[in-house]
Amino acid sequence: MPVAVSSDGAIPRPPLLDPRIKQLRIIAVIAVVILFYVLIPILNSTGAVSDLSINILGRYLCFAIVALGIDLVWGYAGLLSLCQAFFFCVGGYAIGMFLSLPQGGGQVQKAYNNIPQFFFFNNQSTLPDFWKPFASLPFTLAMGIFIPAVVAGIFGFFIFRSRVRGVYFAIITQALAWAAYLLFCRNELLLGGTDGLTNFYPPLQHSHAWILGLYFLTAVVLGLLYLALFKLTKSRFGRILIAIRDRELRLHFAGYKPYAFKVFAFVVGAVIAAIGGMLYVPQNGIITPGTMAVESSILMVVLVAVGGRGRLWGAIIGALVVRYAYSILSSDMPAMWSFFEGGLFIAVTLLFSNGLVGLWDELEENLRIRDSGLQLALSVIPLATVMAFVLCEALGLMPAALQHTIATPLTVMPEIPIKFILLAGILTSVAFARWLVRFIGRPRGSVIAAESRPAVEEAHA
Amino acid sequence: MHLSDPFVLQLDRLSTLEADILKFAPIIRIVCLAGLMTVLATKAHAGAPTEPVTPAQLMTQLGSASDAEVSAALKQIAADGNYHLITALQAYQNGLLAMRGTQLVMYGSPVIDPVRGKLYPVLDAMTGQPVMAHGKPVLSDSIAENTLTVPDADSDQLEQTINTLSMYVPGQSARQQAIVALGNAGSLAYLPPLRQQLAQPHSSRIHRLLRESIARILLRHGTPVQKMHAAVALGQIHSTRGMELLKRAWRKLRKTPTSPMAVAVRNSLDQINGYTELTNLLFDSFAGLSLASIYVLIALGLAIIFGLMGVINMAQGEFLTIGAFTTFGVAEVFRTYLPPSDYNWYFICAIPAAFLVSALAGAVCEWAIIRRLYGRPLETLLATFGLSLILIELIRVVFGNNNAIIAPSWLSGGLWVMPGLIFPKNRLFIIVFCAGCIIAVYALIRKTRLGLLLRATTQDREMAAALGVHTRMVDMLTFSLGTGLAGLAGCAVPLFSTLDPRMGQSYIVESFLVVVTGGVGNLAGVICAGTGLGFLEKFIEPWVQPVYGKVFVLIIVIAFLQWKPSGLFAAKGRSMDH
Repeated sequence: MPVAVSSDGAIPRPPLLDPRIKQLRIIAVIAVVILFYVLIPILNSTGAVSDLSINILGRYLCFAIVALGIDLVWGYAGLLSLCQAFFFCVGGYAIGMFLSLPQGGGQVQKAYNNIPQFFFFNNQSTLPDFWKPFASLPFTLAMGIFIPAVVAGIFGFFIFRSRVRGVYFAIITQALAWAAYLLFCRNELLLGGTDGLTNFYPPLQHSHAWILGLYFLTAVVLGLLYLALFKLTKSRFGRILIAIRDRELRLHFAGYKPYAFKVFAFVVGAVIAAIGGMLYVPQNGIITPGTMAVESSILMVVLVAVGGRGRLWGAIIGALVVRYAYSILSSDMPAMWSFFEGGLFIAVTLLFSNGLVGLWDELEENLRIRDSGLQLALSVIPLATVMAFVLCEALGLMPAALQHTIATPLTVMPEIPIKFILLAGILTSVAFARWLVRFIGRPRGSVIAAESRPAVEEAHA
Repeated sequence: MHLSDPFVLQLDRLSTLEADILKFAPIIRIVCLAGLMTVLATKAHAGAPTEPVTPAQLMTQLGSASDAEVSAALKQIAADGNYHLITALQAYQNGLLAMRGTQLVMYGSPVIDPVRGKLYPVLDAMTGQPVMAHGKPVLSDSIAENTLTVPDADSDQLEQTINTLSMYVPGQSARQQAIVALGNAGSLAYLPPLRQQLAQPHSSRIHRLLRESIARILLRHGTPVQKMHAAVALGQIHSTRGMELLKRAWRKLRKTPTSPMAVAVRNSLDQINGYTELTNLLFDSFAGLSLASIYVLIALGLAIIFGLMGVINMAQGEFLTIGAFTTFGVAEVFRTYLPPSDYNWYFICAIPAAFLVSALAGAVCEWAIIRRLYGRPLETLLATFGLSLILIELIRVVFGNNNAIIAPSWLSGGLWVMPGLIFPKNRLFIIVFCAGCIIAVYALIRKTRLGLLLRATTQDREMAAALGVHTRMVDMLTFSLGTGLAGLAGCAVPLFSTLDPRMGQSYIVESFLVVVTGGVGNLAGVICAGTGLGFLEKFIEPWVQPVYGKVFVLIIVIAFLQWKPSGLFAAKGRSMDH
């Protein structure tokens, strides 16, 4: 749990953990590890979970990786970067170049000189020089990390050195993402223009071994990155980042150079995003400039906002929940996704600015003060419902009875599946019950919890 | 050569051209009358003294078997300048002209009849009216075999006749196009009619075009002396259309660069190039200014909202869209419920309507969402982005994807500034409109009570509240003002592009850059930055491609922020204190 700097500047000692909470956390961690690293691969091998589901899950874990980076940059250092999708795509394009070439198993044809076909549509009959080194995997991996690191380093250095911060930083990064998007859409960049890179090695998305392997690789990378960032944020460096978020000026007066820390955090965030991109592209099978549009960067930020800022595991949960919500809604009710997405942005900021992490905190808090079963249930039910829903969808285990649809008079969504009605019904009734409980006015012994919660609201310009 | 080629009269400046032409006009006209039979003379006196030939007779002569007779008829028609015959001649060219008994008819474009299939209406060749039989227009199943065919020897003559006649079509733009077309065709046969026209009193633009076309023809086919004069003349009138010919001539003359002809061509090319650069510069400035106007209008609203409330309104672009679609709605109402003559006035009504609708939408959003997020600018960014997604989708559901409206006629076309430079009226209007809005906003903020309250709240919210300012209400009004300004910008957008629910998105990033560069404390900063970025973008575009222009602008903005981190004019509001 990140530690907020209290008003007198001293770092308070973390309170001793309640044994119940400790137990809860251990159970949760073991459950998650078993689920992702053991249960899902086994279920996939036995055929209970389809390869497609694993492929999708693997891709969403890549978004979870990006979300980890965003959480470091935004949740800890308070820098709202709106160009993470660009770094994601730089990594993705690097690996995409390798996979397009025959050395990476790309589908090339003799009629096209054994180079990717799109070159011929750009009047290029030989491989451009800058493509040649990408035939080697180590070079590709190095570049996929090196380029975003350098871009983020130079960009961050100039931006942070001139003390551009807060919303100004967000706007400038957005402009960067936008300029990069326009650039990558150009054909003369020889990266496939708006069509992007595709025609990779087919088994990447079709063979069971490759799919499971890539999934497992992604899950392992995610786990390792989580541990590394966990260490980093618990270290002195992590505390400085939090201090930058909460009281940058005070840190400045204490003799630190905040910009150096910011640049470092920004670079780390960029590299993590690029790693996510490098794992994403082989599983997705195509990379286009559309993936780095202005909107997708903001969507990545929302992954973290939904999960809860300033808590690394919140970013992962948020990424999985939002991505699955996206895939479910856009396949079942395509017209509704934009409304839902917009509503999600507003609801996250307006109603529960602590995200899913906030619900978990509440659960722990209720456990600690040994609150009534009702209170406990009111924090467990929404969390458990959302998780169960997402997991069932992800693994294709949704009961058939819930897949039926009900007709509605609305033109934008002629029918709604029962599962959504059920989900919305549960969440609404819990929300109503919570409001009712609060309305009745039970005393809530959560003073300490409120203090130890990260002061995200203050992270402003 | 008795006409002594009036177009090569050595003139130093364009402006003296008309005067000189007018001075010489009477003489030229006398010479003309003496030398040739002029069109007006034949028309005015309903037949020349020698041989009274009516247009109908001439047309009938086209059916003659003798090539020479057809040719003579065509020449006479060209000389008469009876532009009414163009349609019939074109029909003749396409093999659709036929004799129907004694009447000359042509077949119109086919209509589809459910029973009889494809039917060709039979039209009178002279009037273009349908031929009537038993009170009904005659429709033919097929094109009759007795159509008049153009003799091979005369097809060029026919083409020339049609081209020449089109020069007599009334109306400035039609005539201009015809004159340019004659110059493009570049045949010596067009010289006499062009010279004849040059002798008539015309507007200076027509005169310039006539001179240009004559010079272009002579540069191709004239005698060496004529060629030289033509080259000089093309340079004098800064003819961009003559550029290609001059370049071609220069390529031939490159080996003898000191010959008088080569010098003349070189000089003319230099003159034209210099002139083209000047017009391009002027046009780029103009285009930059009009682009900047849109940026400034949106950025002004953004800056007011951000300066006062610290709210990053990502949905500002969608309020622009709302304004644009309000304009569309007003235009639709005018089109549906009012007579077509009143349609042009929709734009006047749309301006206040766009402002009011977007301002109202802004007020609702402020009340429902924004006021709950004060003091958390990064979260307003996310929430308003969500808002923009919802608004885009709502607009799509209500209006559909692609809509276009016809700009009012008083805003279509261009304002002729100088040869080769025309300012489109719609862009001109946008500049004027933006200037008006800026003045209005300044007046509102500086001169009115609302402006006073607004400034007080921006400077010190607590103190203003303590002195009895209803700051929440001021917030709401300010937000409405900001979104209303975006709506006004949206009102101008349909003048030059189609309406799409996502169109606001294309302006938002650049408008934010304008705000960042300008700083939020002072509206003057926004105006300077908006104008600067608009100009920059338009001036870079000719050198590199538009995309690289935008990338370049971003780099410049970042470099600029190294020098002035909080923009051109630093903010003074409390919300910006670190």
